[in-house]
Amino acid sequence: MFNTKSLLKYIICSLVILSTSCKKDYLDRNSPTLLPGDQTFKDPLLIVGLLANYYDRLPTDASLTTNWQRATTYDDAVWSGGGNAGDEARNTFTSYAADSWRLWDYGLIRDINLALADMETYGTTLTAAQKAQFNAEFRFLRAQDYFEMVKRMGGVPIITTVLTTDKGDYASLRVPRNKESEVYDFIASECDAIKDKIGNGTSTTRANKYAVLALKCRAMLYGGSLAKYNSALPSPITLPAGEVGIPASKANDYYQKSLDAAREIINSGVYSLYNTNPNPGDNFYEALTKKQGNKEVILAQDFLQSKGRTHTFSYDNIARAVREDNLGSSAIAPTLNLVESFEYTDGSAGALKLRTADDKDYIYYDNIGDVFANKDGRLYGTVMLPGTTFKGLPVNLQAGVKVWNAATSAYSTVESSVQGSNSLYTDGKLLTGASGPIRSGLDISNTGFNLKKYIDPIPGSSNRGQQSDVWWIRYRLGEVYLNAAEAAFELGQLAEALDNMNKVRARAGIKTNLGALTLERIRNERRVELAFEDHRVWDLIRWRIAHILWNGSPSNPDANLYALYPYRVVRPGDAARDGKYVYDKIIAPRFRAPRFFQLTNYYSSIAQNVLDANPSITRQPGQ
Amino acid sequence: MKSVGQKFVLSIALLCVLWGCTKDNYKEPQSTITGRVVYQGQPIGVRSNGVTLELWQHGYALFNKVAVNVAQDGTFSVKIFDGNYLLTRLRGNGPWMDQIDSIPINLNGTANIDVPVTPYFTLSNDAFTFNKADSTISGTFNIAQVVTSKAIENITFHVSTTGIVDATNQIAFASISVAPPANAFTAPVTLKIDIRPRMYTAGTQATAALLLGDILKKKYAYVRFGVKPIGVAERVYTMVKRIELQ
Repeated sequence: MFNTKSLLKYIICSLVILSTSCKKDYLDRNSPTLLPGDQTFKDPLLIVGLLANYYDRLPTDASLTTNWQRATTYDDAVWSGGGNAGDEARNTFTSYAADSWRLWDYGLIRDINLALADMETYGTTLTAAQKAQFNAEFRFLRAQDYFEMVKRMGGVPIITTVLTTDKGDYASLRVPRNKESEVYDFIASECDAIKDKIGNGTSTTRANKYAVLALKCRAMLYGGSLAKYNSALPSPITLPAGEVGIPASKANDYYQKSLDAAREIINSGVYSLYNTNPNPGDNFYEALTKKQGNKEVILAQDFLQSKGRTHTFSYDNIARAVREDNLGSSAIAPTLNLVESFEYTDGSAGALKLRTADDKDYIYYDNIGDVFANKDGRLYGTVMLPGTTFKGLPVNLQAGVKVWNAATSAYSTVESSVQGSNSLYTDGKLLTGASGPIRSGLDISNTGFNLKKYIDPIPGSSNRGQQSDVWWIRYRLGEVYLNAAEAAFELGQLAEALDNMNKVRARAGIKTNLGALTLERIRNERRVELAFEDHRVWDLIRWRIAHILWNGSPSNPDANLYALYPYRVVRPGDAARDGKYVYDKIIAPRFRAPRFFQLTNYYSSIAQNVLDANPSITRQPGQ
Repeated sequence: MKSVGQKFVLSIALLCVLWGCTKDNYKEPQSTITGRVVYQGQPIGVRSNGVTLELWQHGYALFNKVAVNVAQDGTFSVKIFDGNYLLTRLRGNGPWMDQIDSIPINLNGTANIDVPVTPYFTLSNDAFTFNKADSTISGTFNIAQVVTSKAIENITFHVSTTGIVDATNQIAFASISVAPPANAFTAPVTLKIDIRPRMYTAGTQATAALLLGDILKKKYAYVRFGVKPIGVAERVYTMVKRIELQ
């Protein structure tokens, strides 16, 4: 039964819909949310927006936001966070997978090539100067991305134009891999071409001339050491067409280019090592976390609390006792291996003095932090140590007590498994600290140390509600000095190498200048200066020593990760020892399998779908 | 209290779950390829979890390898569907020469494949003795060079509590590594390892000392030799042997 009134309503509604829906070009409207090239490239502000997107997509292997967990897989740290997201595997994997460092980042390469082409086509209203500047900045990003690929994969196809399938010519899309040396040469020539056009003044968040030089400096150093040390292997890793393997004859050329780029940055006077706090430890910590007045940083990935651009690196990695959230903390626990790499301020080797010379007894310390006295200032800026404070609160790292048993003339060890609060021994004094270390605890230090570098000092920043806006530093002057030192040393220019090394060491509070230099010293300097800045694994790879240091042997101290467990001595009646502190050096309890880096890991495998899609791509050695 | 309707919907859903997974699922693979990695008919000892072969099958949209792990005694086995496969030796992977020829396998039920390789060395005549007086295990074996392009980097002697023994295995805790003697290819090589726990006193050897005490109590251990060619990741091993410690 129809009700005329409601029928009328339906008819009117249908008419209204019909009359509005059949616009002629309905399918040809402009998207309200997507900007096509002809709109984007007329407006400099929109191009800057595009650049911001590309900067953000630059691959890093362990930054504050991307894959930071990997610091525990191949930097100097043990995974001490939660175990339920598969991260426990970082302590238990038996060898590095063939694709550990795989990167085939042609999505970003294509976007940049497309932007470069579209800017030529549509950027008619831009001035020539604007165009040249943007062009240089896009090319910097592309060169940086190629560097990230070549250091992981060896030679990759160099694509500088937009590849399309429009022409139906598929064979031309099957671009073979370039030689490894050609990719490094490409990066150098791009850097030379753009460094004077890129502008950007002294910006630390957009690349300027010195960021371009810093890229060149680092890339050429990698190229030089690959040429030298790969060829020095008993059986160099190569492919017949040079996709992998750089001839030794190119080493000096690369080192020279690296040194020249470093000199240009250093001599410009634009940058200086951060040196405003008289305490070397605090100074080094501020060098990475202070943004205002920091003339050391050349290029950083910035975050800003007021714009809501933040990250949870502090939440995940702050020490347990000083965390401000109810979860998280302590994931990256630096190892004793790293702590002992920091020299003493008199320049002597950094091994901690834990046992008497005849190894019969412990050395007893009055305070829990005394064992670290007179160490390189960078140690205090990189690692939260027992006996230190953070944000005004004690970090509280103590494993337990050692109780003297007079009958057996030996100590028995007492530890608590209470996590996150101080537990007391029967004498009413501290048993185990709120930050651990606890052998089997989650989200609590497993090594007796916590990370300090890049942990935000601002109150509330380790809370997930507020989060942290500490920046991730891509390039800083400290690294440039060390690059220069290494390149100069390899070229036999010892005076310049020493000068650069000593500048970095003096800032760290080391009192005596080096008079002589060895390769081991330079390598160790990079390890301690640049710890947790995404350098260690790349350095080991380009020096071709990763397979020796991490040979998977249970008896190799370099392949195992060590912890330092501090104990308070309970020995009433022995005033020289009672209440003092002693330390046990052990393999970190959660660390289960020695690191095992095989020769095939020097170049990560190429994905099967890439090989399937392009038969011209040669596989890696051992793939 | 659930209404009848809710119960009805729930039971229908349950039935759907029970019935849902039959029609288009494959049966699990039933066929087996077994085999050995051999040189002159003799299997080659390798590191457990270290060496892989690859199985490839053409003709499907997804073209991806099936990795076949070789066990420490040089054998392998894989459960897979019937069909035509190509078995390849991954380059630069095992302690043998690269060989790019693939081995066709027509699988129908079972297949037993000997994969010929050319190792850099072959090891033979391995014998071990336990000297109770000073608690040492000594072993002797012969090395023959097959390919002259690679010299020996080092020779290792591994002792372990369990039957899986190699240079990286977690349980392998006592091993020595020596440079090759000048006459390594002409005379038998003899190595000796002291297994008294009190010889392992460094703080980092606590586990080793503990496990050595353990095997001395159990009165048996597993031993094998390894020889590493220069510039190759993997060693050639002798077969694991059990030795009685009494």
